[in-house]
Amino acid sequence: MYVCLCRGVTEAKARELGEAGYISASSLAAALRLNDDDCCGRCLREIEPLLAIACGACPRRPAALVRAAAN
Amino acid sequence: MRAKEGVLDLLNAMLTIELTAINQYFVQAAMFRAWGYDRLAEHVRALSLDEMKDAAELIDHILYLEGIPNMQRLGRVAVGENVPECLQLDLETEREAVQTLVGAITHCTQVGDFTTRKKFEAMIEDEETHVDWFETQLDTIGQVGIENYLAQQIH
Ligand SMILES: [Fe+2]
Ligand SMILES: [Fe+2]
Repeated sequence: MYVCLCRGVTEAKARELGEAGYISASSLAAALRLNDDDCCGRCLREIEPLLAIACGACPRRPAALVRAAAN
Repeated sequence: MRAKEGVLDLLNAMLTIELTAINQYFVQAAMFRAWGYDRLAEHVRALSLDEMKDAAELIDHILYLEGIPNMQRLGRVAVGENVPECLQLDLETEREAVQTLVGAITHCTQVGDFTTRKKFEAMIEDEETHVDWFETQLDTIGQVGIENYLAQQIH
């Protein structure tokens, strides 16, 4: 599904960024430009599921940490 | 007429759900049409218009109770990347609407606002048919498979 309609960000895109090592809320937000004026603001507030997807896809991220990040 | 305690907040909460659903169904209908599923698109577009009628009714009633309809607040417009994803998200939206209405009806009874309760009761009936429709679509997909289901939507 689309996790941010403002930017047309799909779950697949979040996974792709996770694979590239974007596994913090701030780096994800910056990469997707969720923190500038054209985004509604809601996408940034609801970044948790996006972060969980990215963490899940990151090869450098052990499974236990991924679970912690999702909680 | 002045509203009883908490009633305007509930009417506005429901308005937010309706406004979100209007947008969600409208864009999904357009996506379905773009993908060639005209039959499905027609139905989802009609749902969007249904929700618009609900929104209009809520707006009128909020004004009647001397409140301000909050047209500014919108929930998350949930859009999938394919048909079953969209239908699943829509089902969740409708279930949330029913949930909110159940709470609203209970509250109206507690504060003795039977006029508003009646409006919410009419709405819950509609929303339950929406829940049922989405459930049926997903069940059908489960039974006949997505290809067969989609083949029936090209008209
Ligand atoms: Fe509705
Ligand atoms: Fe509905």
